[in-house]
Amino acid sequence: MTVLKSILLVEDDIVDMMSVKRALKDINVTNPLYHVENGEEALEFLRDKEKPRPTIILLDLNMPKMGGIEFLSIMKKDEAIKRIPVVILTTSRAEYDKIQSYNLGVAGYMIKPVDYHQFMEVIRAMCMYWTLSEVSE
Amino acid sequence: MTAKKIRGWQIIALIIIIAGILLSGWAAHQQDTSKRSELLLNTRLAQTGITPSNIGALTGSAADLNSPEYIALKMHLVQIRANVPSVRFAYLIGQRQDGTIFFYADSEPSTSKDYSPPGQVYTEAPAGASMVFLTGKMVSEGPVSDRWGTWVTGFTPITDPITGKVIAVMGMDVDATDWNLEIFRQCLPTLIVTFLILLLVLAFTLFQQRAQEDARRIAQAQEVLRESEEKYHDLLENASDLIQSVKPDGTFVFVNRAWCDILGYTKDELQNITLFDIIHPDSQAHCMETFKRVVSGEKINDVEAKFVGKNGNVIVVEGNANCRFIDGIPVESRSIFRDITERKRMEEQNAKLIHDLEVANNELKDFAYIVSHDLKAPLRAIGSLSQWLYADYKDKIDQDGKVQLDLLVNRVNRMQSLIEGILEYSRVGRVSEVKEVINPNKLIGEIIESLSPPSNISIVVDSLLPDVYYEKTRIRQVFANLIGNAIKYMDKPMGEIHIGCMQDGGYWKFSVKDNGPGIDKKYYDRVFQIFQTLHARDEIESTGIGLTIVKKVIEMYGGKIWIESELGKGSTFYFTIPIQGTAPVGGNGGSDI
Repeated sequence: MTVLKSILLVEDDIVDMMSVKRALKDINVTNPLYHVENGEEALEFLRDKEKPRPTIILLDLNMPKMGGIEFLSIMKKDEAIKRIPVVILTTSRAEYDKIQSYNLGVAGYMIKPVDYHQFMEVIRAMCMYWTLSEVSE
Repeated sequence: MTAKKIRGWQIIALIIIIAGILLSGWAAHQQDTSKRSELLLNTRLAQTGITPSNIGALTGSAADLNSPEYIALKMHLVQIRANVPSVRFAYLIGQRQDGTIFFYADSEPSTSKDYSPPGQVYTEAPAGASMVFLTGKMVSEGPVSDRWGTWVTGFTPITDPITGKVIAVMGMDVDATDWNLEIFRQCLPTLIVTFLILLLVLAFTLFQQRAQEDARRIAQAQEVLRESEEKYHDLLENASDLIQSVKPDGTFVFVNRAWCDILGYTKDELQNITLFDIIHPDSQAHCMETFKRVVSGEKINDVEAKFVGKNGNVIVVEGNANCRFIDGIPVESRSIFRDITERKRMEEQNAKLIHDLEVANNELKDFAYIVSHDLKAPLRAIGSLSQWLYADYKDKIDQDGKVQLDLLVNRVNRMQSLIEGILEYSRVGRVSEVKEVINPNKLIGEIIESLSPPSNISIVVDSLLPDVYYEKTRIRQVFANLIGNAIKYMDKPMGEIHIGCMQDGGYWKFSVKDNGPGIDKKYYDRVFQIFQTLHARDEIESTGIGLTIVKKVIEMYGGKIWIESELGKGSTFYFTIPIQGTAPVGGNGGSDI
C-alpha cells in the first residue's frame, strides 16, 4: 500500500466519521484520511491545488447543503476530478438511490451496517479491493 | 244516440217515399181521369159526325157491306182513326134483342187481320158497352183484354133523335200499354222529384252525420291534446331540473317550478327580468356567446354556466340548449339545466382531498426515507459507540457492564429490524412491480431453500398449486412469512408443514398448515396487528411485522386471510386471492408472458 494514496471521506455524521477512522486503524490501514462534511466542502477540497488529490472518495448521500447525488452530478462533469473513483457509503436501501448513483458512474454502493464489526468488514473489503485496483492519475 | 238518429232519418225517408207514392198515385189518377175525359170527348166528337138515320138503314150483317151508309160510316171511322193517332180502333157496335153485342163497322181495312166484318159478335165486349146501351151515358173502361189486345175504351151512345133510344154505341180503343206509359210519363216528374228529395234528405243526413262524427273526433282529439299538453306541462313543471324558454331578446317565455324555487323568483316577477339578469358576471361573456350560437341554430349539449338568484345565491348549472324557429326566424330558445352546485362543491372538495392525499402520500414516502436514514444513523452510532466503549475501556468495565453493553447492542439490532419492517410494510402497494405468471410450486421450493429449515421439520406441498398472475415479490413475502413463522414457532420434535390449494368460487384458497403450538382463538386478530407478537422478544426474536405485511398484500389483492387453530395441535393459515389474477394466457408456471 502506497503511503501517498489518500482517502477523502464526505460524511456529516461525526460517529460515522469516527467509525471509518477507527475501522481503518483497526485493519491497519495507514493511508491519510481527509474528512469534509458535505458536497460543497468536498468540491472545494478537490479543486484546491494545495490539497492532495485523493485516490478514492467515500461518499454519504444524505448531507446538509449539498447531498451526495448533487455532488456526483457536478463532479462527474469536471474534467479534472471526474476519474476519481467514488464509493457510496450510505444507510439508504432505496432502489432509486442506487440507480441514480450508478447512473452517475459510482464504483460501488455500500450500506452502512449497524454493527461496528460488520462495518469494519465492509471497510476491510473495500480497502483490499482498492489497494489492488489501479487508479488513473 | 247514433241509432236514434239513424231511425230518425229512416222515418223521414219513409215519409218521403210514402208521400212520393201517394203524390205519384194521385198524379196518375188525375192523368187517367183527364185522359179518359179526352178519350170520351174524342169519342163524342167522332159520334157527332155519324147520322143516326144511317145506322137505322144498316142490318148489322154482311149484307151491309155494299150499302152506301156502311161505306160512309166506314170512311168516317177510318178518318177518325187517322185523325186521332192515339186511337187504335174506332168502331160502332149495336145490340141485338138477346143482348149480344155486334159490330156495325170498324176502322180496320178488310185486309187487316184485326178486321171485324159487320154483324160479327163481340163476345168479349166489356160490361161498360152493355151499360151504355142500358143507360145511354158515356163510359170509359179499361184496361180490359179481348182477342185483339189490352185496351182502354171509351163508349159513347148514339141515340135515335126521335125515340131517344140508344141505337148504337161508338167505341174507341187506346192501347193500354201506351195508355199506362203515358200516365207513367206524366207521373215521372213527381217520381223524379220524390227521388231527388229523398236523395237530398239522404245526402243531408249523411253530411250531418259526417259533420257530427267530425265534431266528435275533433272534440276527442282536443281532449287528448289537452291531456297530453297537461301531462307534458306537468312533466316540465315538476322536473327537478331548471327548464326555461327565452325569446331572442332575453325575455322569459316559460320557466318551471324548479327554476323559480332555485333562483327565488316568482313567475310574475319574470316580466321584469331577462336572461341576462340571472347570469353571474363570471359567466356573462361565455353565456352571451352561447346564447348567440343557440339563436343562430346551433344545438349545444354541454352548456355550463353560473346563475345568480334573486337573493344573490350563486348556483352552477350544466345542461343543453336549442332554439325553436318559425320560417327560419328564431322564436325561443329552450334549455334544461341541472343544478350542479353541490356536485361542483363535491368535485372541488374531492380534488382538494386527492391533492391532500397526494401530499400526505409524498410525506409518507419522505417519512419512510427519513426513518431509513435519520433514525438508523443515531441507532448505528449508539451501537458503534457501545462497542467502542467496551473495546476501549475493557479493563475498566466488569462482567455486568459487558452484559449490559451486549444487551444495548442487541436492542439496537432489534430496533434496526423494526425500522426495516416499517420500511418494508410501507413499500407494499407503494412500490409497483410488474405482474408475472408465478408457479407457486417452484416459488415455494426457492423459499424453503432460502429458509433452510432444520431437519426435524418436513414441508410438504399437498396438491399441485395453480399458476397465479401477480407481483412475484409480494407472493414470495406471503409464503415466506407464513412458512417462516411455521418453522420459527415449531415446538414438536417432528414438525410437519403442509401447503395446499383449492378453488373457492372466483378465488384460489391457499392454506399453510403446521403442527406447532397453535394460537388461542382470542389472539386470531392480534397476530395480524403491527408489532404484535405472542412471545417475549427475548424468547423468539420477532418484529411482529411479517403477518401484518401478509395481510396487507392479501387485502390489496382483494382477498382474505384467516386462522383455524387448536392450541397445542397446530394452526392453519388460509388466504384467498382472486383467480382473475391468473394470466390471460394460460400455461405452465414460469412461462413467458
